[in-house]
Amino acid sequence: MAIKKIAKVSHNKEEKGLRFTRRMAWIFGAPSIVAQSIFGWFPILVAFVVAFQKFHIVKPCTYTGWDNFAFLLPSNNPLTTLVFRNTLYYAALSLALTFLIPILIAILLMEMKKSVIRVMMILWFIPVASMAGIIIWKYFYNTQYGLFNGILVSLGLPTLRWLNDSRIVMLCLVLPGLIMYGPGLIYIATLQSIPDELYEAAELEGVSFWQKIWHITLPRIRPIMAMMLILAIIGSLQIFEQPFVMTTGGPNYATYTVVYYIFDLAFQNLLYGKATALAIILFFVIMALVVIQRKYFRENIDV
Amino acid sequence: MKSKLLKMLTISLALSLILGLMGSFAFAAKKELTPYEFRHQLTDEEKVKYKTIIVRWCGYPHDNWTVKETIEKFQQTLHNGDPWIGMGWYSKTLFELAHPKVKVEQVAGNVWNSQFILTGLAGGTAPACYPMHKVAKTNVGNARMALEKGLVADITDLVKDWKYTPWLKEHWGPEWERTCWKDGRCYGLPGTYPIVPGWGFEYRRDWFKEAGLFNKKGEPAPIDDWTWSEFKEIAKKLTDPKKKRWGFSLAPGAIDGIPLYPALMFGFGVPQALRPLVMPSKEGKYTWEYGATPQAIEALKFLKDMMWKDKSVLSGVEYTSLAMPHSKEMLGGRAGMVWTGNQVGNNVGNFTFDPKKSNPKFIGVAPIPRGKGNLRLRIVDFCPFGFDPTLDKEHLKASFDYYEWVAAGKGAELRFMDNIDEVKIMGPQYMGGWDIGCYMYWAYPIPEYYRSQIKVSDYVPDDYIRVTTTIAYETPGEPKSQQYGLINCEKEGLLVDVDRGVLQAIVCNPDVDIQAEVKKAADKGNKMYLNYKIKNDKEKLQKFYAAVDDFYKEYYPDWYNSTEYKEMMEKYYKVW
Repeated sequence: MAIKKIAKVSHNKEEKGLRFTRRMAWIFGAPSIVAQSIFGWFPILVAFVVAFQKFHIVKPCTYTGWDNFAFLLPSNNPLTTLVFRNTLYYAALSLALTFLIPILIAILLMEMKKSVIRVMMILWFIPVASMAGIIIWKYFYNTQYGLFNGILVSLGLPTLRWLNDSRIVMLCLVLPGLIMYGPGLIYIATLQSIPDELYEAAELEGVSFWQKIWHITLPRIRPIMAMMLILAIIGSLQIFEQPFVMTTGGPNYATYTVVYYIFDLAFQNLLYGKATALAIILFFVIMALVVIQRKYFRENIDV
Repeated sequence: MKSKLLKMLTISLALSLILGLMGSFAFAAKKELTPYEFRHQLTDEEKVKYKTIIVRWCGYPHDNWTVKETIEKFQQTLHNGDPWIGMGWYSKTLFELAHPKVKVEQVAGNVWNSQFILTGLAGGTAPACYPMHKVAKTNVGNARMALEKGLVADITDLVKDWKYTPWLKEHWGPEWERTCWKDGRCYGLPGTYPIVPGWGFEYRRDWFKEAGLFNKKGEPAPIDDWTWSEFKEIAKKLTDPKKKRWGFSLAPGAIDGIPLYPALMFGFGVPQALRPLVMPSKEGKYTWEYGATPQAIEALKFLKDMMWKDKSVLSGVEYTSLAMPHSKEMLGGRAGMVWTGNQVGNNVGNFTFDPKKSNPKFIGVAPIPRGKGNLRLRIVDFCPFGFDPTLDKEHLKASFDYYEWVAAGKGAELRFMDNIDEVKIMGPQYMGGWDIGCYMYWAYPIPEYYRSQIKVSDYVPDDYIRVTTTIAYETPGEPKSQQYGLINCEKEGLLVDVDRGVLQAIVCNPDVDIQAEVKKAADKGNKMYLNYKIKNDKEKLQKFYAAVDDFYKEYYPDWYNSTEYKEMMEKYYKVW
């Protein structure tokens, strides 16, 4: 009886403790939840309303049904196909170059001396304002007096039209991201956390360098890779800064992306309803890609 | 006796009470105090409370004297030798005395910034008055979009009997009607911003001198009646790859590049109507369709040759920024000529790269070249200002009155008086581009006294005055489709994006197939922006093109009488 009483008391104490913890969690979490609701989720809800309206700044808004989405249908709007094609092309290039290459570089760097690794981490960590970097790259690409054509001329090679050549302009927009890409730092940090004993054991077994990478390194950094891949997909599909600053969507729409088109519709043409409709379409496209990515590139292959 | 006295006392007390009450009711019922009553009958606190009509004003038009609104800053300017600021305060105070119920509240911000105006409109904090093209996020030529989008107030009742309306109709009639009127209702007024003399060319005088290019007056300049062929030859002469010099710098898609398009096309015989690459639809499903006449293709080929054969054009997507890098290329010494607007306003001042040098010594201005049959397009910017559409009647009237004050009334006179006084003290070098521009093309009548005190030729080179007169006053203006109710302004403004694609394709690709690019652009233009039918479009088109015929017949008879013109009009424009 006494034991039952003690058990009951301790159970009650446990429950009280749990309730208290939960309450405190809600209290401490409340400000962020409120801020996220106001500035994050509420605008998304409003967007779903505005997408079905002809939105005016001073006149009352009018409900237009699916008209805004109909405006964006490829049969009515050649720009829709064009911007999605450009954006997906940019995303593919960006993922291939700025996602895979830093991983490879980080892995190879781990073979260097510790002092070299430290220097590389510092270089990667130096903050470079992305907008300033993009503007500088724009001057590098200048066909008349840019650095790159200057190098080509000094090597006796023909010059390129860089940002004015629709065949390579997208690659020109991706390259600054490759050089200034910060996640290399994250990969190095993750790689440093892998126990050396695993590699030593593998060496004793006579495993080659690439086999070590495949069977030890990559599985250990898989969670980070999965997270960075999601961020890279979302970031690349929302590309705006580079085309806006470097090419203003040109030459002749070659770098006109979805977000740039949204910006033009909303802030240049004041067609807020249509811009929001396009933003919602992009939202679903990104969501679909992320769902696919999560399904086929699980963080933990053992789960 | 006592009771009688008491009765009389009571009655007189009651009477005085009633009279007193009636007096105060009468006082309260009075709508507005006169300025004298306001000044002398109210305490300072009551004066503040009395001003219930707040006019939010943001600098322009030409009331940017009072932007330094804090007392400390104002005091500083008193000792900094800047009477302009004090004059602004004086003007505002005088206006508020003349309108006791009104308070003009200076708001910090930039009325030329579209986002500032739009967020203000959305939040109820917009300035009362702003440029129409800025709020509609378009160029000056399509400022009408502001009224199409409901972003400016209807001021018809205010201009109906306004004393300046006859003046405006006489001097700016077609531009005013085209930009600010719809279905007999008025939505804007000409800006007090000096009406820009229009678009044309700026060039480096030193380069022309070096190249031995002189006009008939012996000035290092193109002749005023130069042609597009001469322009091409001059650009070639000024180009020197060894010195990294190009004859002409072009922005293919920013604000500056786009007006060059119609100017060039017009010179090759393409009537402007809507936009150069737009013509009446043959199918009839919609009113207009996107496409190029042979003349338009010829114009685009001309540009392509300059770019890739002569290599005399410095251009590319790098030059599409609003910071006008193409113009800096001319100032900085890489390009000999540039296409731009607002020449006098921009250039009467110090040289950008060396404040000790004077701009007019380096930079000359030239009108648009002539084309076939002497054709020359008139592009004169007309910068209309509109009022916040959310203002109630009372506030709108007050804002309108203040606009009149600064544009044409006492406020304007004070501005000119300040100009004159400062010039007398500081000398001719004081005059900046804006100020001298006012005397050349202020939208409203300037009293003769003020005009007579400033001799424009003392400040502005002879060629600037000559070219401005040519562009703004002597070049005839073609009838516009807006005047005949033939366009959907909102969609028409968006065609700029489509035109930009064609222009960029030409300057970025040496192997460009112009016909193919126009076809691609037509796909976009027709599906997205020209998919509308105007009511009774056939009748309207007939009237419009009859007016176009009359225009060419009167001003360009050689072109009008040519076989090329007749064939072009029959095949591409008179398609009903």
